[in-house]
This record gives sequence, C-alpha cells and structure tokens, in this order.
Amino acid sequence: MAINLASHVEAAALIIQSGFSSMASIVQHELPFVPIRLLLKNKFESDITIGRVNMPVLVIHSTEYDRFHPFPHGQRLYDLAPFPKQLLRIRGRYPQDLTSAAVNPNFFSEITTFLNAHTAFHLHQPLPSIAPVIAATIDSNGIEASVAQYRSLRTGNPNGFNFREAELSRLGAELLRQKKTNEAITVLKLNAEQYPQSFSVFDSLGDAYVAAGNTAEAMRNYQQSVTLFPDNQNSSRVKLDELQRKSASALP
Amino acid sequence: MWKWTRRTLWSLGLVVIVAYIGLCVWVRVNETRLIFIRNRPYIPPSPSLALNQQRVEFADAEGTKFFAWVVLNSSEDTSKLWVLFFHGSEENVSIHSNDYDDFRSMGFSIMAPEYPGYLDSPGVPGESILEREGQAAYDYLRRIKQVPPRNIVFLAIPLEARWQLI
Repeated sequence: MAINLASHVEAAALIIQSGFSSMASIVQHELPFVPIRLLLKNKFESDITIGRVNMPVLVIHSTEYDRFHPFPHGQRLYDLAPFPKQLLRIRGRYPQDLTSAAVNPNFFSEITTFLNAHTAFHLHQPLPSIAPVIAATIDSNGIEASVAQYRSLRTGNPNGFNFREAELSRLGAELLRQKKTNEAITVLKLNAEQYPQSFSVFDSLGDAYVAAGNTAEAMRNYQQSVTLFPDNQNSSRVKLDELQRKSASALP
Repeated sequence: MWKWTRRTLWSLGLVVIVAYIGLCVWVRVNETRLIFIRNRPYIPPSPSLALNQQRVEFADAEGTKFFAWVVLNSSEDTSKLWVLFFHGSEENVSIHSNDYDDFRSMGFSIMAPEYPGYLDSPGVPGESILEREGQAAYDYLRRIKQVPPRNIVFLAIPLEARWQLI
C-alpha cells in the first residue's frame, strides 16, 4: 500500500521493512500448483510499483530465515528500486525482533543516518539502548554484575542511554529465546521494579516464570498484569485462566 | 484386469481434479482471512512512554471514513516532519507504540492509519480500500496539517500472509 502510494505522490523518502515482491510470489511458494495469479484479488504487486517510486528508498530486511518474509524478496525490492537506495540487512526471526535493540542495536540510528544523507533533514541520533550494554555484561561478567551496572548507569548517567521499559522487556524476551531463563527472570524483575505500573512488564515476567516451570510466580505476575490492565484483551488474563485450569486439574 | 486398472485410474484422476478445484475455491474464499489477520488485541501504550496519541478521523474521496493514531513531537522546531506509518497485516495500530516513540525521539510526528476491519474500525480490508486509505492519510497530512511533501516519510511494514495449509 505504502509502496503504491509512494509511486504516485511526492515525499521525502520511503522505508520498507520486511517487504515482499508480490502477494502472488509469496503464496505461490506455499501452493506451487495453484494458479495464484488468476485467483488472487489482492495482488500487492510491489515489484511493479517500486520502479515508479521517485524518492530515496531504504529497504530493511532480516537475513535470518523467515518463511513468510524470505530475504530474497527484500533483495528483489532493493534491486528494482530506483536510486538513491540502500539495503539494510538486519537480524531477527520474528517481527518484534526487528526493532529490538537487543537484536538490532543500530536499527534506528541506521534509519537516521540514511534520512540525514538523502533528505534535507537534520535528525537527532536516537539515544543508544541500554539493552546491548546489559547483554554484553551478562555474557562477560554475569547477571549480578549487569544488574549493578544498570542501577549505576541509571542513576549516574540517566541521559546517556535509553532506559525505556521496552529495552529490558525485549532483552528479557531475547534471553528467553536463548534459553537463559534465570537471566531473563532477573532482567524482567529489574524492569518490573523500574516500571511497576506497566501491565506488559508483569506479563513478560509471567512468561519467564512459565518457561522456568514456576507456576505460582507466573500466576502471581499474570494476576498483577490483569490488575493493572483489567481489559479482556489483556493476554495475561487468558494465560492466568489456563494456568488456573491446569492447577485445578492437577489436584487429587 | 485392465478394466479394473482403468477404472481405478479414472477414479484417482477424478479425486485429484476435485481436490484441485476445491483447493482453488478454498484460496478464493479464504484470501481475505489469510492476508488480513485481525486477531491481535489492542495493547495500550505504556504510561511511561507518555505517547499522548490522538485519534483522528479522515475520509477518502468517496466519503469512506478511517481513523489513525497521531503522535505529536513535542519539539517545536522539528514538529513539521512526519512519518506516515503503515503497520503490517498481522498487527494493528496499537502494536508499534515503542516504534512511534523511537521516531518521535528522532524528531518526527507520526500518523499511523488503522485499516478497515481492524480494532474498532468498521469495514473489510482489501487492496483497493487500503490504497484509498493511504491516499486519504497522505491528503490529510498535506491539507489539514499543511505538511509539505519533502517533510513526509513513508514507512511500510508490508502485508503478511499465512498460507500454510497445515
């Protein structure tokens, strides 16, 4: 949609994150013997419209395997885009990984550099996330040292890093994916201490306790999340119900 | 013997043809559901972000109404720069609060249109109506917010599709 819009209006730049060349090409990969081009109503033929774009184009695509966003699609969009253009290769298997500083620490600074180079903007470079700093310390000196480092930087250099809630949440998620469950729990507990009003922090901590097999703590944290955000759409509610049902059925 | 073999082959061929036609019908019937995955819940922005998003309504040339989240940059000198942020088809406008905050910290204001059929936006999504919505959002920035084209950046997280049969 945005590529099509960019093909017939004027703007400063187009950034495409995890794009594909056309809907038919994605579906054809899954259903090779079906005449997809004839059947599809929604064709989204970005490989045709990208050539008509008349502005700088930044294509951002993960090189790690993703069945529904294979890297060759990003490469093809980049190849077909007119100059000036740039291809930014990033990591990540899931959509939420892409902008996570724990996975791609330079994601937004690369965007800033691209826009400053190809437009008349003079954008601020975003503050570096605290997440890669903490992750490096976990690897080199252990989790206790990283917690001490976080506290020290948070009080001693509060404007030197981005200490936003999402930074430790995403780092916790990344540690969970790496099966570093104890480190994830410590990081997420630290985040809950910093942001005690955030329902999503307690939801993430509940997930970490589930991974650790600690049902009681998981339920306690999901309950806290539901208390902070009682809406039915809070996924903690579903997880809490599920754990309660399992606990009840496990009783003699 | 040959008669039985021929009959079996004909039966098998018929089954394959019926299955193939069934698959084509399935694709046609389920296309919208498979491309536009609308089951992600609303996730309110963390209070610590102080996003202060506004909900703005706008319409296309045919009068179809849409809504978008608008996050304003607090810095006056850079508030004229805008990102027109189009989320992916398996997401909704509330999923990207942290990304809006990142763009805000770079100096942008953000307009993030919500698609028909997502959250409480009425209608059914499709390529045609999404293109009209994109144009209408752009026109909103140009005419209502008086943003010159050179100050608008498009960010596209293209549509996804979950086509696996199993």
